[in-house]
Amino acid sequence: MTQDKDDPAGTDHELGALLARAARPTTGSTADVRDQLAEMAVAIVGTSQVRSRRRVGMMSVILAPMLVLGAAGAAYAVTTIDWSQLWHNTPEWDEWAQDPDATVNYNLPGGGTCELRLGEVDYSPDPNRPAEVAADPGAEQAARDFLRTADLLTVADVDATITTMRDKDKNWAQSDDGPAVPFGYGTDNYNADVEYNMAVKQAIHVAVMDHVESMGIPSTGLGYQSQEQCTGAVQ
Amino acid sequence: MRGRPRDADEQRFLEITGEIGPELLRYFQRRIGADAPDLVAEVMVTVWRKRALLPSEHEHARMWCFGIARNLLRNFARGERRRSELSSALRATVSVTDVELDSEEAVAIRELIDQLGPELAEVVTLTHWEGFSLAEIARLQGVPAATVRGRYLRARLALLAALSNDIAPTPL
Repeated sequence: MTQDKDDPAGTDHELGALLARAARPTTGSTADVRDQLAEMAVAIVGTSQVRSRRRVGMMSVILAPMLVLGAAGAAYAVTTIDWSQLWHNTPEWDEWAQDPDATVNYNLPGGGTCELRLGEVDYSPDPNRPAEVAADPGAEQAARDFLRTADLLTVADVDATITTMRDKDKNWAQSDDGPAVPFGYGTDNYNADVEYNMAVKQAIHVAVMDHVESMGIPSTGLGYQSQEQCTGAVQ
Repeated sequence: MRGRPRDADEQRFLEITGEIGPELLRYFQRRIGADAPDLVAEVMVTVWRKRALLPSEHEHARMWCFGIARNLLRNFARGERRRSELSSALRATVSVTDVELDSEEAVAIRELIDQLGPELAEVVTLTHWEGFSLAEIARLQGVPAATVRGRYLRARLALLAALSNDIAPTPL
């Protein structure tokens, strides 16, 4: 046998013949197959565009009072963003998180690390929802199966989610009787760790809902819990 | 009535999935059979979701898509059946056209391939079923090309030795 060092497919006929005998039958690239693949791709684009229009949102958090020392040495009160509200970062795992459906580990832009646990999938559609809004209890199992088996950081697009959040989301912090201030990318109140952590959770949420809906099951009423423990995060 | 104009991302997504869709279908059919259309749908959903990262050069884009396919296949192997509405038409077509029966010999050889372990099995199947070069497989597996060459030779020796009653191994 002569064997090309880097391309044995064309030269190692002995093993090639063996592998050819082992392969399951496949479908040729017929016009029907190509048409259906093309329709599938168009449907994916269409579904995604409807959903992304739905996702444009607004997030509000509470401003936290903070004492600062002014130039003249006098202490005065200002408000600042209380970033801790944007984390679900508790020292102990909740009871459900002791046995999560999924665990994801990731690094934050500031060098911190997080472990995110997801679970306690719940199906509870609004009984008073409009008649045309379909719901299916099968969504709960479909979401749970997906959380348990998918490589979530492979299927969740965190970078694209950050881009969408920067383009479309408007974030405001508001105290009880104080001013409302914008926060997030492009404002004076930007926290890259918070943004990334939010994006991971949002991207996973989108991936779960997309998966359930791609199976033909409405995601109406579907929810789950998440909790993270991060170290080295700017909070 | 005219449809909505396509943006560049959408056009690129439709082009690349149109080109490699049949190839991805065969990739999954060879490995998991009837559930292949569902995993093709999942690859497409993931490619669309991650389209901002899709390489501009065609061959790199193809390899990137196969990387996604490979990850999904690995997760699928953990034992789950997914039925996607997206893939229902394709599934119906494939089940109609897929009339060739799987032979006992094919099943026996696949069992031998499985016994190689996932990394070695992947090298020989990507080589001979999909026609990937060892350098391409090295990129997919994230290891040096020399490692993949070693895996190929080990897999080759093991397979031919296992079948030594029928086929004598060729010295390398």
